Amino acid sequence: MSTQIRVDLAAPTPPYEQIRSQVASLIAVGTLAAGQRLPPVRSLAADLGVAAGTVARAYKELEAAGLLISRRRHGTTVADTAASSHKTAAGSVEVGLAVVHLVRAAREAGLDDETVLNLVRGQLQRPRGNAPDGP
Amino acid sequence: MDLLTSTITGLLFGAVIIYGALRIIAGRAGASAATLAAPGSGVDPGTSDEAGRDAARRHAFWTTLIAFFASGLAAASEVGSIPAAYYAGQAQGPSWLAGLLTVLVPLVSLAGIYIIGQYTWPKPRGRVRRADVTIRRTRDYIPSALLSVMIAAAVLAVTAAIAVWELPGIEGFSGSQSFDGVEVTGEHNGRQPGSYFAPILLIGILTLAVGVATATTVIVRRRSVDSLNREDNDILRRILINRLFRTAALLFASLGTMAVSFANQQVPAIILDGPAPATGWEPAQQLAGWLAVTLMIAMALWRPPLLAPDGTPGRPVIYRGSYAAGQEITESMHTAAMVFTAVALVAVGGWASFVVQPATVPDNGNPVFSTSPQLLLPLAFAVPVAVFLAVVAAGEVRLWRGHTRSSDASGSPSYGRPVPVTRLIPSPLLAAVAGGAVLLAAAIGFNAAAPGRQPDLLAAFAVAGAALLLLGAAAILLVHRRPRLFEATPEADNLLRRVSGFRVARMTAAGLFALTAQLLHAHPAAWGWFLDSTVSWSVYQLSPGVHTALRITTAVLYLTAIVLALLPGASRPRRSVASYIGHPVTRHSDHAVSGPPGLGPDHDQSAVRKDRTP
Repeated sequence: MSTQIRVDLAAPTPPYEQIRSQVASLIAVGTLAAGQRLPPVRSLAADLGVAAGTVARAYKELEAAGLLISRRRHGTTVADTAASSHKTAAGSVEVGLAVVHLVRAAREAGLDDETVLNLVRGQLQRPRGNAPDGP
Repeated sequence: MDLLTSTITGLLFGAVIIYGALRIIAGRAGASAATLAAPGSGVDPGTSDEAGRDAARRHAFWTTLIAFFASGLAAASEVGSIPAAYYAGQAQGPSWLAGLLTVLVPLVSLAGIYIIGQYTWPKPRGRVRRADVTIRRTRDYIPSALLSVMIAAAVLAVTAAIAVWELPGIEGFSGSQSFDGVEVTGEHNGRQPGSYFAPILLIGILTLAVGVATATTVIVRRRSVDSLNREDNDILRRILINRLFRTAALLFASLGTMAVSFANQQVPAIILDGPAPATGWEPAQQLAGWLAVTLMIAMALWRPPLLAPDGTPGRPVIYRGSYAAGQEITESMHTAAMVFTAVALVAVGGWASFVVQPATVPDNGNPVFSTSPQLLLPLAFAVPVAVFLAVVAAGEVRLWRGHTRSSDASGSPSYGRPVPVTRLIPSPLLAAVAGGAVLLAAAIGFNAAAPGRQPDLLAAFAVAGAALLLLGAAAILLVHRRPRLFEATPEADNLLRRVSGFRVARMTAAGLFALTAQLLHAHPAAWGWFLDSTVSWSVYQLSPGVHTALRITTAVLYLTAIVLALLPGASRPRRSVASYIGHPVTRHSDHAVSGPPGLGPDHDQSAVRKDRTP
């Protein structure tokens, strides 16, 4: 799976949040494994053409969430706990397939990424006991 | 302004100019990326476009070319030498700092230009930005085999530098000097002791190693080019590292060769009917020469990966007699010609360097050239060039026999309208061929008129020059007279002719310039007579080729030959040209169903489809 992230400067979501959420997703699905090093803040900022502070903030929030660890000599790495806590979900074949189907259906329907994410967020925000709405 | 300050100022000034030039080239890639990423462009910004790749290729090419020429160590070959003018009181003694800077400036320039080049890429401008969140490790981009070759060259250079450390200096002279009671008038350069020269070389080797390591790190860590996707960015990094290592390997070898040449400098002495006294370093000098030539050829052939267009098929289906078939044949024959030429250069050139006997000076003071082995000297360049011309001509014969209407039994012979030779080959290149021939003829003429001439050797050079001219003319005639490829449009066919004609002309011109340089070096009879009749002959034979004017002239001629031999020409049409002539540059297989493009008016499509080049 690709380890690319994408930042849309015209999107309503701030760039640091886009970086944060995509890195978190890559960790969640296991693309970024525990102990894997991430590029330095300046390097990633240069590649994305954004301010170093933007990437630094994203990293800081991921660190606060326990997904990343920053050490002076080793740089920024994916935390062991982050990978293991998400392993169950990432290993779930059923959920993985459902996500693949969802993305495929959204592409066929011509929905943009933001709309798909809003739909998912909407479902996730519903109380746990309630069954998801139909399309 | 002292020497150090002026050198640093010069380097900074050069850096600014190079930054500006590379920035302009890189800017085109940025503009392309901005167009791609523009809202509503309909193009996924995660993909590379051909314009972006073109700009990246150009940027990498110019970075490499500028760095290659800026890192030339020609000026540094004088380091460690004491000019004869110093003994005449006409020049100051060489300073250690000046020598060090002469060696360091080209080496720093190499790394510096590669580093500067990485900072000339524009920032991403599009609305949508992409980046990879995996870290780029330097070791993932380093070609290990090439690294080994470069390290081997560096180790040999260090070994040679350490080996010359203990050598004593040599006292030169200018004016009259007595050798065993024989009075000789002339001049001879002196030499600094090894403890003066070796530290300069070692500092140079260390600087180059640090510079290469730094430049490699910067290449790996530089921001990704927005107009290229991740794979193409990786390829671009590998291309630059490949070229950096190849140039650095040659520089390490040059530094080692400098050490050996330094050690091999002869003490001035009068030679009566015998070979020059041995320095003990002759075998090392010959070995270094062999290794340098072999390394140069290996580095020339050690190609980096290509920035290929998306979806390039592994093996395109091409039609017999089509532009694509012609292009494939001419390109493969050109590659074969380059390989055979390189092999011939090593084999014949290396052999010639062994068989040439040193000139001697009998007690009458006239130079005596050794006879039979030197007559074969011109073969060192004539054979490789002749091999090149023969292989390119063989490619044209292949086209003629297998891909033109005259070879098709079902069709009537159609030779088409040949393009005039003046349109086939650029005028400056024709002028270079003519200039090379005139220079060689003039050099032979002046030497033939000078005292101490060796008619047999001059005749050998004349025959070699005439043979090259005849072979070149025959090859161009073949290119010119070949019938048109039966599936190609006249424009496409002429393009192939121009490519072949260009290659033949540039190599012929290069061969003539190289022969002239070789003649001036091997037969300097006219030199003293032409340049300065007061200089004694015996001095030239004591240190042949040492005269600065002779060295500069031969160096310029050899450099011209190299530039001519490597002169880039149109090897395939750009998109605009391909579009103009109605041919695709790639994806020939796309046309397998609809038929090949660029058909002539008399094209029989059903007949052509049965006959494809596999």
